[in-house]
Amino acid sequence: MAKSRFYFGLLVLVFVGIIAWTSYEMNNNEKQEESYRISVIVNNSNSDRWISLRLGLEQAARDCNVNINYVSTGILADVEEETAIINRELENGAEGIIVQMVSSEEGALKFGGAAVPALMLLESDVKPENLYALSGPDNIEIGRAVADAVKKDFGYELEGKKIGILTGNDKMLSIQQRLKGLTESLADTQADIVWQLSCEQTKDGGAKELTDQMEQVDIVAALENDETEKMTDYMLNYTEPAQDEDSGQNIALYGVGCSEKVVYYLDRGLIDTLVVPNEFNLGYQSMQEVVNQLKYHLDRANDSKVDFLVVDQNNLYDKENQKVLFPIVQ
Amino acid sequence: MSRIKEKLMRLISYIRKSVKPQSIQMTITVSFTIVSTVCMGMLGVSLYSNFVNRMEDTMSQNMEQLLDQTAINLETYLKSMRRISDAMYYSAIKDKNLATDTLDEEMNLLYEANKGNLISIACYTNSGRLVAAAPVATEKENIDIVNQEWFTEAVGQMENIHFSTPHVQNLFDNTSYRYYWVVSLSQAVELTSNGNSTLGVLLVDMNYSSIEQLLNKANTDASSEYVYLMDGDGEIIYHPKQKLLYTNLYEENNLEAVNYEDGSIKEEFHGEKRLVSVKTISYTGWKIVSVAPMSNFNVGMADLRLVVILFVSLAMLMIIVLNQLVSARIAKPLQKLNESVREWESGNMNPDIYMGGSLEVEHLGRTLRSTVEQLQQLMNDIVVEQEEKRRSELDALQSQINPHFLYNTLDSIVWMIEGERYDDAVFMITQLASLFRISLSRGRTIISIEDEIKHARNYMNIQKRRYKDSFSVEFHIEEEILNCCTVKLIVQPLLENAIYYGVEGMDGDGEIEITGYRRENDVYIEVKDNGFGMPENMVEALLVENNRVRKKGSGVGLINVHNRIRLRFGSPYGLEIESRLDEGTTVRIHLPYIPYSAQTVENLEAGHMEQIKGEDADGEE
Repeated sequence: MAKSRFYFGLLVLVFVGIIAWTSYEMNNNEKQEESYRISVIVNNSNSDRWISLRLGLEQAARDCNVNINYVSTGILADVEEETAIINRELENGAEGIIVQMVSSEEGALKFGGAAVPALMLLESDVKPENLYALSGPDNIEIGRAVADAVKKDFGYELEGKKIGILTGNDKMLSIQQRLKGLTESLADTQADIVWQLSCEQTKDGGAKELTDQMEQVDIVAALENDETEKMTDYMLNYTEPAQDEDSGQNIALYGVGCSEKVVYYLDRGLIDTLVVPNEFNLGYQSMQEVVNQLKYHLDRANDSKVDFLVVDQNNLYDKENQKVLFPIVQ
Repeated sequence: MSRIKEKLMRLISYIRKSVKPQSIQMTITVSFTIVSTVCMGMLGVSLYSNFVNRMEDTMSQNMEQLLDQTAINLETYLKSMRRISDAMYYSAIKDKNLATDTLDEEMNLLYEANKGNLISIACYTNSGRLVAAAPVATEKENIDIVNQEWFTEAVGQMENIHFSTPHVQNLFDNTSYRYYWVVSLSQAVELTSNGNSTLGVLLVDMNYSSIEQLLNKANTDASSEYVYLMDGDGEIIYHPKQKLLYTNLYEENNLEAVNYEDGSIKEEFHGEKRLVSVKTISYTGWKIVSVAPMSNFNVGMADLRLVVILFVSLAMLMIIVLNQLVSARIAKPLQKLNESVREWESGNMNPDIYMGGSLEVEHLGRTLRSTVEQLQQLMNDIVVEQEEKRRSELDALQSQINPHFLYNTLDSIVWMIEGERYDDAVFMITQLASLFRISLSRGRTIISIEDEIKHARNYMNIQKRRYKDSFSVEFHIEEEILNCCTVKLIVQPLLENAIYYGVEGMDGDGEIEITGYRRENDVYIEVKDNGFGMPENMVEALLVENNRVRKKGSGVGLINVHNRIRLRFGSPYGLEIESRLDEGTTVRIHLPYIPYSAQTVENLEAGHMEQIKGEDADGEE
């Protein structure tokens, strides 16, 4: 009798257990998938060069159920300003930050005591390196790719060719790496690097400076989107059309960039070769990594590398290239 | 086959052996629970599979509906685009002499009317020279029109209108750096210039965004279900993750899906099972494909599964509790009854038998209770009977040697001897000896009527001498009954009573008549006197237990005789008394007709009257 009572109790217990479990599961299922708030901070956020990146970020945000806050910024002066923005975003409840640092040299980011659940650096690392997760192209390879394009067009010796380099923001490690890649690759040629200008030197009244320098070079390599745009503006305004072979000034421009403007001038033939990092992937992958870090509570997001395209006038409209180069904008 | 059967039989016998008999409640609960579990399980499974099938059907129907709707929208859109192209060709280009007229006005009109969906309309000669374009734009320098895909397609198959895959328009210079993704619609046209016909190509560049918006409407659903579009070769035209596809961050099974027939099909792609519906768009040969991962469906199913499990578990829980209650209700009265029986078994001869529960159990209880009571009564009767028997036997023993009678008789004999009446004395002693011999009868209780009558005669002979023949005695005994069984010493007490209460004081007029006869299976011996008789109430009181009167005589009352006969032969037999005041009394001994033999005597001695009756019955048959 006691035994049968025990079995009866056991059976009831089993069913009560099953009922409890199913109720719990049903309530759990009803819960929406977690949604994250992630802020994206880039220099001069409204610049055309970020269109692809934004598309990538937004696609990833849709796929991963993320509330994205693409912070509207002007041209950022220094890391302090940027850090202030990051702190403000954290105070406003951002769980993850994706940031393009304007300088790599001022050491680790300083946050006002707020812990960042997930942080991802875009394009450029800070020193000391590998402190935070980084998503970006292989900058040394980009530098080399520019050099290779020059070599391809002018012969591998580059004898007597004078080269000017527009580095852009040389406080950034990425620019330093591109420069390193470029100069190392050019070192075994007989090319002469005549000058090297950073964005500090070319901003505002920089056109005048450029004019002074431009006289001396045959080839200009611009390592950043803004510098490439600046150079095209200069070429349109201050030099004769490039196709005029006989005129004294015939500068070949090799640039790095991804805005529609630089693509347009590549199409127009003003830029000889353009190295285009895959910014869509940059945005998509960095967002995914930050979400992964939040979702799986990782100490650090994984680094991710994106590829880049080397495009000239001939292969601009190649089926595969146009898919990467031209964003589908409604 | 026979081996399987053998194994099955072995299994069944094993189960039978291992299932031991259980309590009723256990049996009811277990069997009800098993049956209800199986039923609920089957119900749950069939409900679930029914739901699953329906949901799958509904899902694919919904998908196909969505697909049909989208396809209709897309077809309408493409048709309107074709109309633009046809309108341009048939109502403008065909009629114009291009040497004198321009197409600009008509082209601009058409463009303005369809601005939302168009990027540009342009007409080229077969050498790639621009004839007209709307909106008016600067042509790019150094572009190779004739080798662009839309151009070669149009020239290659002149009778058709061609739709290209999405591409970036590479025709006009846009100083605002805008590049447009377009789907080109191109057809070969006949250009007339001063009566000379030349081949040309009309190009309508549709804004890709329009197609994208159209299909985005089908993809607003938050679920992971989506719709994409590809051309007849499987090249993606639209995909919600188009850019991811372009940058290889995502893959689609389009090259496989392009071979599917229209309708729904299940496929597996990258380890994911998906339900795919395909619909071919007329004219273009494009295929619109809807994809729903089965996991999506399974998420909904998981909820349903939980609901089914919850429902079945709740039902099972209720059934189990209900089973327990019902089985307890059925089994409890039986258990209580069983406990009562156990109590009885354990020696309590007066148990409190449970009466309750269902009608049947209550009936059982009631029957058992009355049985117990009857049994108890029977046992009490047996005890009383035994006691009675013992006392009667003792009384009989007493009557065998009644000291008073013996004393009187011996006194009479002494008187006879002293009066020198030696013959009388001898006679008295002879009679006395015979009386005692029969009284003792070697310790037996059952003797023949012949001996009993002889005993009575001896007794009467003695009494007659003692009372100096103051009354007369007559014996009328049928020969037939002499050899029958009787309990011994039953006539003598009646004679004693007849003498003491009947004829003692009648001064020679007293008569005592002893008659023995047979009526069918009964034997009657009557002792009749003509004494004073007695009133009716006294007659009635004579055979009642508590009314033992010992006034005179041996003290062995009629009741003793009556009881002894009944104890030996059963209740129908015994004494019957008839008496009338001043007329006399008749006491009738009623006995069964049992012939005297060693066997019957033995049976009767052992108290087995039933057996003798049975033998009688057999004998009669």
